Amino acid sequence: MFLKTTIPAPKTLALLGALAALTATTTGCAGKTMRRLDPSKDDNLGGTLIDSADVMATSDMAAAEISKQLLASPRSDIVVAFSPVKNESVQPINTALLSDRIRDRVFAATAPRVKFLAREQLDEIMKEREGKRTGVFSGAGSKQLLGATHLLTGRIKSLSKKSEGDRADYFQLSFQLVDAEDSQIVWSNSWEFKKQGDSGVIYQ
Amino acid sequence: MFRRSARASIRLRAAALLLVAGGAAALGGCATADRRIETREFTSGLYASSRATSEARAAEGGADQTLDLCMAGTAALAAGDVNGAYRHFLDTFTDLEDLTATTGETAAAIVGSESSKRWKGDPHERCMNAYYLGVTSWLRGDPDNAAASFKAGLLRDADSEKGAAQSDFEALWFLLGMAQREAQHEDRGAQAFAKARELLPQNPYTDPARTADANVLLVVETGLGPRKAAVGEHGAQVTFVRRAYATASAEVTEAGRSLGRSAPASDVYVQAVTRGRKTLDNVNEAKAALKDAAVIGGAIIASNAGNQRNVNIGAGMILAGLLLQAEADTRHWSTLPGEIQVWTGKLPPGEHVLRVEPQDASGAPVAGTAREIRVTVRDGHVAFAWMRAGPLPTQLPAGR
Repeated sequence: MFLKTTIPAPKTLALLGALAALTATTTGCAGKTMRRLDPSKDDNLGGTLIDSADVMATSDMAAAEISKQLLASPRSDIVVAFSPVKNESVQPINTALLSDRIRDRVFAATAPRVKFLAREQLDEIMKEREGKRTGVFSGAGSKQLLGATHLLTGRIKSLSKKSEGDRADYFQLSFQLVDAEDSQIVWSNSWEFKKQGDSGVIYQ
Repeated sequence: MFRRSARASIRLRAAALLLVAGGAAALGGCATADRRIETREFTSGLYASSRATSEARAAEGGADQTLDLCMAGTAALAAGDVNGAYRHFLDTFTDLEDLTATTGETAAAIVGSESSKRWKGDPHERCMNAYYLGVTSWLRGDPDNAAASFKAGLLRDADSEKGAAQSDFEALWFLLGMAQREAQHEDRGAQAFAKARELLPQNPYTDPARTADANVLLVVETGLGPRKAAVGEHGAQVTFVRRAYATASAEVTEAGRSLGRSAPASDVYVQAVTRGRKTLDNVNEAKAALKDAAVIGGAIIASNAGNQRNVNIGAGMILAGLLLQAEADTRHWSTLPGEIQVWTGKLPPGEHVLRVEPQDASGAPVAGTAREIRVTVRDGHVAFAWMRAGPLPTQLPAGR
C-alpha cells in the first residue's frame, strides 16, 4: 500500500494550495440580481448558437431588402403570405422569432399598399365566418378569402465542429420571396455567421 | 522518566488530532441528494409522484437542478404530459449546451468534491436530453425541431471521445432520418438513414426499402439505464453498472393482427461506457494518490515526532489528506431507459389503434406493461408515437 502511493511533488502541493485559496475566495453565495440587456448586443454568457443579436440583425436586414423589393414592384395588388421558416440546423429554435419580426417590419414599411395574410389563424377565421353566416355570431357582409400573390419563406442551415471541448458553429439563414402563381423566386438572400466557443476543463 | 512522559503526551496529542481529523473528514463530505426515492417511484409507475419529487428538488436550486429537471421530464413524459416534459427538456437542453465553468467552480471541483460542480451529465446523458427534446418536439407536432434536437444530440455524442465512437448513437441517426423525412428537409434524411444502416445492419427497420415507405414510427424504451458507481481507491474511479430488466422487445398488433416487433436501436449502457475518460477522472485518481500520501506521510511524521511542531505538521498532513475529496461524481440520470427500440410500419391512412405488448427474451408478455396507442396516418407523412415499456401510467401521450 505504502509503496504504491505516489508522494506529490512540492509544486503540485503548492498548486493545490493555491487552488484551495482561490476556491475559498470565489465560491461564496451570490445574491439573485436582474440586469436589463440590449437584445441586439452579444451577452457575456458565451455559446455558439443563434441568439437574440443574430435574430435581430438578420431580420432587420432581410425586412429592409424585402420591403424595398415589394415597394419597387409596379403591381398594386400584392398580397404576401408567410410560410414557416424551415429549421434544418443543429439548434432547436422557434423560427417564428425570425418570421414574426420580419413580418412586423415589412408590414410597417409597406402596408397598406402591400397586404398580408394571417394563414396561421385560418381555422379560427373559418369558424368565425361560419358562426356569422349561420347567425350564431352577429356581423354582416361576406368577403372572399384572399389568395397570396407572394410567399415569403426561409430556411436555417448549419455546420458544426467539435474538438477537445472547443466548438464552432456556422449558421446560414436564407429567405426567399416567391411568386405564388408561377413559383418564380423574385428575391432571395442569405445571412451567415460563425462562432467558436470552448468548454470548462471540468466538463471535458 | 520525564522524557518518556513528554513523548507519551505528544503521542496522546497526535492521537487526539487524528481523531479530530477523522471527525472533520466525516463531516466535511459533500452531501448530494439521494435520488432513490424518485427512481423507485418511477419504476413503480408512480410517475406523478416521481415528477413532483424531482420538481421539488429542482425548486431548491443548486448544482443538481438540471439533473432534477431532466428526471422530472422523463417522469412527466411517462405520465403522458408531453408539454410539461417538453418544457423541462427545453430548459435543460439550454443548460447542457453551456459547458463553460467559472474559475471558482473549476477550482472547487478540482480541489474539493467533483460533485460540487453543476451537473451537466456525461456525454450519453447529454445525448439523451437532446433525444427527449426531439421526441417531445415531434409528439407536439414539430418534426423540424425534432430533427434539430436529434442532430444536436449527435454532436453532443462527440463531447469527450475522438475516433470511431464519435457520433455512433444509432437511435439518434435513425430518428434524425425519420424526422428529416417528415419535415421534408433537403435530403429527406438520406444521409442519416445511411449512417443508421451502417451502425445497425441487423435492425430490419433501417433497411432502405422500409425507411422509404414507412408511415408510422414507434419508439419503445425498455428497462433502466446504467447506474453510475464509484470504485477503486477512495472511490476515485467511475464505473457504469448495467441494470437488469425483463423486456427484450415489444410486439405490435392491430385488431389482433401482428405487425411485427420492435428492434433494438441503442443500448444506453453501451453508449455510457464507450465515451472515454474525462479530465476529472485523472484529477480524482491523482487526488486519491495524494490523499494516501498525505495521510501516511502525516502518520509517519506524527508518530516519529520528537517535538510538538512535528506532531502538528504530521496531524496537519493527515487532516489535509482526510479532507481531500477524491471520490468521483456519481450523480446520474437514473430514470433513463436501458434501450431505445424502434418499430416502423406502413398502414393505410386514417385512425389506428396499435397494441404494444412488451415481451421478455422468451417471448412471454411482461405483465402489466401492454398498452394501446392511437396514431393518425396521413398520406405523405410519418405518424410518430413513443412509449416507455414500464408499469402503466395514468395517461399515455397520443401519437402524432
